[in-house]
Amino acid sequence: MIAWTIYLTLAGALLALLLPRILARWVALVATAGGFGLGLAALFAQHTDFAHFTTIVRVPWVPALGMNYHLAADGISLTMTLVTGLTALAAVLFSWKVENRPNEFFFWLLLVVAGSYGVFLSADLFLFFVFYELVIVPKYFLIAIWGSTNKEYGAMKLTLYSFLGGALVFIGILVAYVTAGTLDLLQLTQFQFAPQLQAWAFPVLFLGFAVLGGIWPFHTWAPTGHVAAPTAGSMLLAGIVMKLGAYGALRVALNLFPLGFQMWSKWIAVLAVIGIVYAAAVALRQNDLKFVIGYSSVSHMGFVLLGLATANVLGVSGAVLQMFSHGVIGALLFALAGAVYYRTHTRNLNDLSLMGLSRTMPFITFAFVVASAASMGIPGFSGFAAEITILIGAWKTFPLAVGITGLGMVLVAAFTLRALKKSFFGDQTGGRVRQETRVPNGAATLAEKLGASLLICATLAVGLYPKLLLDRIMPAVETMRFLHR
Amino acid sequence: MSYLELLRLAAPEAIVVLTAFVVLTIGLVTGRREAGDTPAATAGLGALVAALGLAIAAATIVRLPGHATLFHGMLVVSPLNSLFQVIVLVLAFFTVILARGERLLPNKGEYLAMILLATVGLMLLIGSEELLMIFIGLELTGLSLYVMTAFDKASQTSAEAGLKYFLFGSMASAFTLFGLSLIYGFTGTTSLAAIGPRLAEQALPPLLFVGIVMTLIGFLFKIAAAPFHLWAPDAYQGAPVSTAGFIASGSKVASFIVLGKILLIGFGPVSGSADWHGLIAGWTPILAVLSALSILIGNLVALVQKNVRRLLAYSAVAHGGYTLLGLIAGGRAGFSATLFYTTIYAVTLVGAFGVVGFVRRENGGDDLADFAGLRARSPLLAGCMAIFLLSLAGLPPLAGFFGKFYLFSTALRAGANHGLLWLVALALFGSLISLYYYLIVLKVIFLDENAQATPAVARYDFEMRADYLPKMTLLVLAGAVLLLGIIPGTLVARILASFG
Amino acid sequence: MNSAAFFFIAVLTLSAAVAAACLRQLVHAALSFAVALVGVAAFYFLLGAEFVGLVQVFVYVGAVAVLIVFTILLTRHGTDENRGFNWSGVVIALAVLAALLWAIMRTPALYVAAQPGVTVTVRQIGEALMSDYVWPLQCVGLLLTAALIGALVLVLEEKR
Repeated sequence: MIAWTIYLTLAGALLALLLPRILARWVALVATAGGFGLGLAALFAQHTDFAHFTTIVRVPWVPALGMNYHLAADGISLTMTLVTGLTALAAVLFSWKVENRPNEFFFWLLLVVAGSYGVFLSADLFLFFVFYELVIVPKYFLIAIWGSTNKEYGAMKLTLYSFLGGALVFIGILVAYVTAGTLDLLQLTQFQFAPQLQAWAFPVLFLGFAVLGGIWPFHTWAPTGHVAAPTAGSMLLAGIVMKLGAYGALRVALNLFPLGFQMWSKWIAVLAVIGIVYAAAVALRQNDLKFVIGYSSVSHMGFVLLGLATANVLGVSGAVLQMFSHGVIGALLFALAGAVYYRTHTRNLNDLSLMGLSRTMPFITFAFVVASAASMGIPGFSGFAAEITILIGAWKTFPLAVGITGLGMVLVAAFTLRALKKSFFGDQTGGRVRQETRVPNGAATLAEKLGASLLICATLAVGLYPKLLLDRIMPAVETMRFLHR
Repeated sequence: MSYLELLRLAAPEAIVVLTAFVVLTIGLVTGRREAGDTPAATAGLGALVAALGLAIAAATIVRLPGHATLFHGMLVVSPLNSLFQVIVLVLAFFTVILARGERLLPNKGEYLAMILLATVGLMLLIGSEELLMIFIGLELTGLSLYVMTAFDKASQTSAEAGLKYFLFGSMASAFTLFGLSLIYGFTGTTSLAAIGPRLAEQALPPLLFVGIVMTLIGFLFKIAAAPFHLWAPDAYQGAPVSTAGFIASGSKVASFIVLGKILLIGFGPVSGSADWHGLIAGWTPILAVLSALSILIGNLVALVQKNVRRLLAYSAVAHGGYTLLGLIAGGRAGFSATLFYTTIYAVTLVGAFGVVGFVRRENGGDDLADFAGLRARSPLLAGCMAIFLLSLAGLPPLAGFFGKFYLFSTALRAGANHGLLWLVALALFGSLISLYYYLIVLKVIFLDENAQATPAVARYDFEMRADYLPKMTLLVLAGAVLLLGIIPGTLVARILASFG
Repeated sequence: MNSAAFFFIAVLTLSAAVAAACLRQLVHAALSFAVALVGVAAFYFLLGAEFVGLVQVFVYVGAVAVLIVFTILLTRHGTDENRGFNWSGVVIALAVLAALLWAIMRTPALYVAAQPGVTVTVRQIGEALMSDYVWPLQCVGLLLTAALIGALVLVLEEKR
């Protein structure tokens, strides 16, 4: 059933391209809502085996080379499917007003979504990689055509980084395929690769994924790309695409080469912690609202990598939860930043601070406050639940890292508050808001309200009751073979 | 042997030759007015007859017996040869249809006849496993293509391209002939099947090795591997568009299959090894170095091109480098990977040149700037071009992606202990560079606005109506590229099965 | 074999070939080229391949070289500007030559087992061409046809 997320989205993409332009957004809405519904139904269905990567479909594809069309799902992939559907639906809602070439816009957007569903559900390495690379080009067009600031540069940089990561992943996959003689993930995770091979193949594969996951020092595509992207593009990037890298690292790199992972996990933790602190520090000095959020994404993804590096159930489960959580929060932040930009045509914090947006855009301000709170890791939101789980997990393996990360969290709080203050509450002196900077149409549209509410509900639900997801994630993590026992 | 038997086995070639003469006659009888331009009716009839002849020839090939050999390998009928003769005929078929759009060429009849004769040359190349016939096929193809390249007499670049192609080509042929004579001198035979055992039984004398290398030069020239690629940019840019497409597709497919046969059947015993830590002298290290060189030079120089045809030419050099990976890997798996890749590459390039032809006709040029705003003018062409270029860049779900996966995985499997990893990594790096310049072209097509608002197409009313067929052809080609990416299994199984 | 004759012919052929490549006057170059072709024909006679030698004289010296001379005489002369000396070409040529010489020196002998006392008659050649080699013969014919059509098309004056 969950496989239909892919087909539904692909069909939606084709229809969006071919139908009259009026219908494109409705097609996209139906397709993403359908995907979200399917994801929800699958994750909360009774009697599902969340612990094992259970096959859904398995059809021979290219028998001569041992390729199968093989889809499977466990708690982790279902969680990721859900966040994909959620973000995609919100992204469509926030792009309701795209007037420029809407057919192509929704075509590319749905292609990204379909590819992401595919990545999360693939159980065949080749299929996995097909979906993984499928996401690259649509991103380029989304950013280059509908983007803003420096869009062609940002699009190209992002695409080339993605492809570079893809090339490294390609090498890793080829080595695994050629050595083990199979592409089936279920068989590959049982295969014992020679330690010498793992020692070099793991870092190649992991780094390839981590480029997309925004690992320091290969993160620079993320802020540039986020800033250049249109609202929906940033939402997809933060909500889904960065997760593809982290998910790939978890599902493929760690499970295929556990010995290599043990050799390198320290260094992953080091890079993750540097990423958390560095990105937060940089975010503190940015003046473009989207840059701030972009760097905060890198910082939050650092938590995911740190969680993976712990190699214990708590840390890794926390990492998956953080993927979900940041998917929702990041998407929400970018959506709101986009909404602000749509109305004010600026994202410069100093300019925004003169506008007193808290008065003219009450709903957006409210949503942004919530999103900021979630992003800072205030208890009650998903961010807190995820990060605390990661830190407890990391405490056992990397106590020093937890200490430094604490500093990072302070910085996150600092830059988030700064951005929030400057962009919405900059001018509190009442009537001194200058007339010409007053924003004419501040009220949020219905679509925006719906999209924002959806994401806020999600982060609240998981924040208040993390077991909702953790109960489904942890069994799957427990069966993985790279864990320290 | 009886002449009848020969006629039966050589029927496909004979049919294409006859078609060429019929087309020639049509051109002579009905053509040639004072204006020098070929009348539209003649061009249409000629193209129809040519396409029909190619189709009949392909049908004849299918009905040939499974295996037959005449004159010690001069004429070999085997599933592999038949499969690729059909593929070449199909490529020629598309070229003929797309050549319909080549409006400004005089002597359409002769042009079509030359396409058909070049096709016969390619069929001879594919259908023989004997050095003498291979050389004759090489020459027939080469000669026809030189003429086709220089065919556009109104254009100086066409003449220059033809001359360059001819000079480089005859030089390469001379090397090949010299090499062949050395090989014959040492082994006393020209049959590929007999050369292999002779090479295995004696220690390789240096002069024989020189002979082997010289033989390879002719084919490396044909596939435009660096450093024998210098003709390619000029020929691709200056030649009539359909010729450029045919050079890049049909000629390349045939060259790769013959190169593979020569290397793997004839020179198999002296292959050597190009593994990183286990270098063994032979032709493999040479090919590996040339492949690396082609990938680097092709991709790096393509970066700075402002003309789409030149860009495609340099990228062709790089793709030649990738395709060589399969031959370096060797064996049945490597050869089939090479054949798969070169086939899908050919299909892609015929299509890409088809789009270039349209743009050239509407805007009078094929520089990058002429592609600006193509999306607005013709979404169909823009979409097709996107599919072709992204397939070349190796992105799923297009055929180029699967082709690369196939090539690279066989290359990696071939060397002991992943010995060819260095080359695979280099090829992937090359793909990364190539994605950049392909995206630049797509950016121009999809983002940039057209400087001139109204393209100068009004004059060519008739041709615009006649565009229907070529445009459908492009759509078919784009569909093929997509389908071969989604279900590549059929073609792979076909190639593997044809090794018998 | 008569090694003195071999040496003489070799020197003659090589110097004629070098002259053909270097001489400025096109006609002189063409004539030197003809001399080189005659030298090659002489080799064939020396090796006992009279038929091939005769064909060489008839076709190359008699037809090709004469055609070249006629073409030069009948067409407009291009300006023979001095393009400068191509040093990279020289380097590559020398490198190729060195590689060839090295290979020839290192290779013990070219032993093709030629049966002594067997002379191939023209009749035998003709029969071989019409039986074992009939397929390549036909294809060469096709090759010449293609060349003919191509040459005509390229030189045809367009009526404008």
